[in-house]
Amino acid sequence: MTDLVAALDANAGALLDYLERRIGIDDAPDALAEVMTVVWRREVDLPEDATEARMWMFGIAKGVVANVARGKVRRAKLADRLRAVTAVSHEAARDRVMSGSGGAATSAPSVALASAALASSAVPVAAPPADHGLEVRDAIARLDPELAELVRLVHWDGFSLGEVAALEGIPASTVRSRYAHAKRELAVALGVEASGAEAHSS
Amino acid sequence: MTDHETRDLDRRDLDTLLSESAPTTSQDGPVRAAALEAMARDARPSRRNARRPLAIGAGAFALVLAGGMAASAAFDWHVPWANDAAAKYTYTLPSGAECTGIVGNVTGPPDAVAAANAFLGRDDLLKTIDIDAALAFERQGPNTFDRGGAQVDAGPGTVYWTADLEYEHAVSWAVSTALWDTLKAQGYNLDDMSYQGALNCPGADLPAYMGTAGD
Repeated sequence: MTDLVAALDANAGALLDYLERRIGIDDAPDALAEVMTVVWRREVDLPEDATEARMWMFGIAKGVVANVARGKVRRAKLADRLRAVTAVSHEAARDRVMSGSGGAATSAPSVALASAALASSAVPVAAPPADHGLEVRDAIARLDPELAELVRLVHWDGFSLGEVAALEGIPASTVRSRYAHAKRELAVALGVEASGAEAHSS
Repeated sequence: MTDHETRDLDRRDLDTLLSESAPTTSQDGPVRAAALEAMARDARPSRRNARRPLAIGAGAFALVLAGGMAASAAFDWHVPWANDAAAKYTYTLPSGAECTGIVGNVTGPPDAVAAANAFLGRDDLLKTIDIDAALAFERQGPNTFDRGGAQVDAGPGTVYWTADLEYEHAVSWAVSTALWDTLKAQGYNLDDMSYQGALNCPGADLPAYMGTAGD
């Protein structure tokens, strides 16, 4: 196993989550296929440090997300298997929400999407979306785009402010002040107390 | 916002609200993990040098790309078989520059060579090829450049890539694919076959490393 394979194995799940949160579950597998393809192409640039390698991969993912916004990500055969897995998972989660069940899936996953790999496997499904979060997401989306992405990186993806600074290529002090500013704006917009502004700085 | 949602917001602090607002993702688990592991390995590029996509199957293509030369009827192709080329075709690159390609010097069993020359000699050769499929293949990568023995990225955004070069590769690839597919369909063994091609693309937007002539 090469270092790059190990690095991909260590970060693929987080990369997929990141892409799903940014561009949706349907398109994320193709975007991840593109990320992995670029990562392999640039194998010689892989940082030796695990954290730096992670940030390097997320930097590539960020570029792919920008390409998705420009309509430049194509369906990739490489993504077929993962697409089937996530699509089934998504369908099942949606069915659970529609049926009002919080327990085991009450509807069979889409047969059309079930791959052979899935046929004999119980596919765990995502928790139903808690869409009181919709209002919060809307509030985040109304922020300046840079502030909004900062908040998403911290609260959705679990990055520290130091990691955000590295990913965005801006000074950590700037990230901290922007984050505090974003929190104040969100507290006002949502009518809640701002708290924990320091919790994610590192 | 509904009254119910307002009450929910009141009960939780901002950090919690923000973290809980993350959109749903597919659930992590062994099936997804297995698919991700497979993708990580399948994404590994083959050792094919994507700058030479034409050397597939049983064929060889010696590319002479003359990007900066003026087109003229007396253009010197620098290949000895130019006057006996089996195919000559012209197409337009994304930049608007015109490319003229010639294909010839087909070698192999006489009957297979005759079949190849017959296919290449079609007036509608470019209508028989699938450029879109070739472009899709190109874009799947890997697109690498051999720099001193190291394979480096040669995809979009790098100094080794231009839209014109990508398109030129795609057309050449499509011609190659159509030729070999046709011969295979006719039952010929391609193992001992080869052909050559040359391109003249005056005004094409090509990577700087390619210069204006030759490759």
